[in-house]
Amino acid sequence: MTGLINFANAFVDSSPLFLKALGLTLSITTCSLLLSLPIALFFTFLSLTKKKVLIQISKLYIYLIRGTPLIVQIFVLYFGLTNIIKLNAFVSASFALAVHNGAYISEIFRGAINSIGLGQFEASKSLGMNAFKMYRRIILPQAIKRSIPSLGNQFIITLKDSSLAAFISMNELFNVATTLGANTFDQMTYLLIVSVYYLGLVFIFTLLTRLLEKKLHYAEI
Amino acid sequence: MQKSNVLLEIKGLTKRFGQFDALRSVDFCLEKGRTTSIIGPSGSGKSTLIRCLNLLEDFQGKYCFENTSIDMDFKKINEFRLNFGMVFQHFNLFPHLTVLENIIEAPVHVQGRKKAECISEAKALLSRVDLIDKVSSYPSQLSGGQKQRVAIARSLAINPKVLLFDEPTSALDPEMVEEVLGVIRGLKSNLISMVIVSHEMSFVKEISDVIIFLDKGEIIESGPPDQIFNNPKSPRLKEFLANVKS
Repeated sequence: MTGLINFANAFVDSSPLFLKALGLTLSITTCSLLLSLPIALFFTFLSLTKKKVLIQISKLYIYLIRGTPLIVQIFVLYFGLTNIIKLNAFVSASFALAVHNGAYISEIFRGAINSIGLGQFEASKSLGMNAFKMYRRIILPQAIKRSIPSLGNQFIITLKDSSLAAFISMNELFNVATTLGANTFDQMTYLLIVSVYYLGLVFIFTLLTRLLEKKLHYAEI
Repeated sequence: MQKSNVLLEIKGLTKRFGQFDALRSVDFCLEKGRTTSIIGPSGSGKSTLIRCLNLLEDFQGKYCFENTSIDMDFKKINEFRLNFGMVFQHFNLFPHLTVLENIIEAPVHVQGRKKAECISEAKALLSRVDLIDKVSSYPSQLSGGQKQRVAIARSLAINPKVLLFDEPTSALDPEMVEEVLGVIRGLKSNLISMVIVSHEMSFVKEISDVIIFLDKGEIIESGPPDQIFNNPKSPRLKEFLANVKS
């Protein structure tokens, strides 16, 4: 019982620090996700062209990104590029996460577009649409809807991966937890507390995804 | 046959899928305001032929529309396809759009016409196919026959010169076939040409001006319905008709 009370006290006492960190975690996650969508879409379209060079570029990007650890990518942007360009920690973390997620989301989009029946493409063409209009008005609205469950999944992964920004000294949730843990010699309490924050965020996010899925629901043919 | 009446003429159409010849030097001619049907066993190339007509497939051969020769590198191929309204076996309605949005999609967003004007036209088309009460339904809420009637209205909305029907009733439950055939029957006029791929032999016989019998990618016989059905010359057509009737 006293353990529970101690935990509650620690939770309340640390809440100002954690809430501030929560804002940073959400900022990194949101920025990187917003940036990752156009990146993903760009590489999806490269992979859907009939030009071999472009397809290879898209494949190479996906291979490089999926083939190296995210923490390495974050370090490359923050420490590795200092001779060329100096990026601050926030930009490095957000950009690394965006480029990283772009590769995965690009594959999600590609799969969703490939799952749209050939008939939809043919109907669009037979109505005089060029490729841009066909994707913009007919294919992408359906493909994005089909991507939402996987996108929701990817967003949750990003939220948690943003904890790696702690290693380039960003004061986000995980960094606050380890710092407080070190200061109080009570790592477990703060690791549990930070887990509660992550779980809360994921819970809200899952709900939002469900709502979006419901709103976009129309039975497929 | 007067040359001026010819709308579409194709000579020596050959279509290969890898090693397989889907169509072998097919000659095809369509006159204004006339209806041509393509019949033949499955796998004979009927659907491939009708898809070549609006250039959904590329092929080798000479293609001429309204006395203008057109090749596959043709830059305005998308606009050119607006000469054709196509109705598919599996309807291919856009599931994320309502019935009305399906119909006005191309007139508004491809042809760039005024939305209000397109909506009133779309409603007139929907009355014509007897579906005015389904204006704001989604395709998933319609029966197969209703979907196909919407698809017909959608193909009419672009004011095409030719209507292409690729097995329009093959995916329908038997009791819905007649409602769709009835609509197609009502479209026949001197103003619009139609090409129909169908297995509904009595319908084909009744509606067509010309019938083409296709087998293994070649035209075996063609002529008016009376000749094809009552006086077939080639043994393959005789055999096909005997199989269909039984």
